[in-house]
Amino acid sequence: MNWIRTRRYTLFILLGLLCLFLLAVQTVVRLNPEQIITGQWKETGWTYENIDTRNFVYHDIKLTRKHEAESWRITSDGRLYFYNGQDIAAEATWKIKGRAHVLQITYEDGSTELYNIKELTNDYMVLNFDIGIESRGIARLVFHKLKNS
Amino acid sequence: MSISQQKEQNHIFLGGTTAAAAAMVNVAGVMVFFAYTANITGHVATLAEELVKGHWYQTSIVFIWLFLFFMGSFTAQSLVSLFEENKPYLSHAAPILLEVVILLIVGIYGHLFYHESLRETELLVACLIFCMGLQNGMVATISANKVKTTHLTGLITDLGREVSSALLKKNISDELMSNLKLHATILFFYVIGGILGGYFFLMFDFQVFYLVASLLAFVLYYDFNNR
Repeated sequence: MNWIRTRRYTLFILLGLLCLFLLAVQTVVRLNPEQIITGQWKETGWTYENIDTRNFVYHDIKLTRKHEAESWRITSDGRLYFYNGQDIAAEATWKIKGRAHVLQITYEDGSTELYNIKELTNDYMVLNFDIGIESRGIARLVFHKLKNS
Repeated sequence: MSISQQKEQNHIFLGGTTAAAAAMVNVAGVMVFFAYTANITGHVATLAEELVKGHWYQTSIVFIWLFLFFMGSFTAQSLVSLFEENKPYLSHAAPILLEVVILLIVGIYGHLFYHESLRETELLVACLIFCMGLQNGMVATISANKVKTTHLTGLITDLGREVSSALLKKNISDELMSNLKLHATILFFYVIGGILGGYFFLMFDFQVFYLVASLLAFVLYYDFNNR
């Protein structure tokens, strides 16, 4: 057991574990993206980027449910309500995956949509709709959080 | 069979099986967690991207994942060093046993308890990344750096050079032929493992990790019988 008694080795392990611990604590103490995302979000932007022909991309994404909604209400119990004015246009469930960079929405009929979370703060959220890496463009949705949500 | 031939055969077996296991874990990780568990180069690029954008939460998570890959390799080398003098079989077996246990835990948790929360996702990805670091470290250590199975950038680079040398040189050395066989086997089994991992994940969900654990248990059995 001589190897474990060397000071350099022990110090290295301790420093590593300390770094890991501090980082983990820092991450846990910070607000969880699952908490930040809950609330009422008003869709304020719907833009297409990096595309030559709008129709090409629009063709890929026109069937998605988000066109039905003006605002989204995301609740902490994993439910997502799409609103048109005061009326609920559709319901779904949501999950955040990966390193908090993927929003997975599953509708009641079992169909699933994936959004890339580009920005998520207490005030606004930017989502890129996943239309496949082969497509030469992205659909970007910008939301602002309603203050009373 | 000469000692060098036996060694070559062991490397090929070890490389093939662990490459298949790594590919299965990587593909299953992407499918269920949307995160690579064996693509560390990609994580470093992601770390830089998230850091530049000021996404501290994501930066921390990716850093922890990277660190755990490092710790996996560190643990593997430590276990090998700890047992290699007195219990040589255990020096190879301990890292794989640890990996099998972690994979079983991930499989059981994912199968029975996983609610798809972000915390669970981050933790399970962390476990798998640690496993991949452990496996890569162990395989690299016992093959004297000849075999690394969780990533293919270096391997395909070597394979390209070796194929070129084999085609251009008049006399192909035994070493070149041996390396060529080894790297081609690893690549082949990585691809097969990836395809099977994806297919079995669609069929069996988290239970695919039991399959990976079984494959590694077979590696333990083979290693035990060839001592």
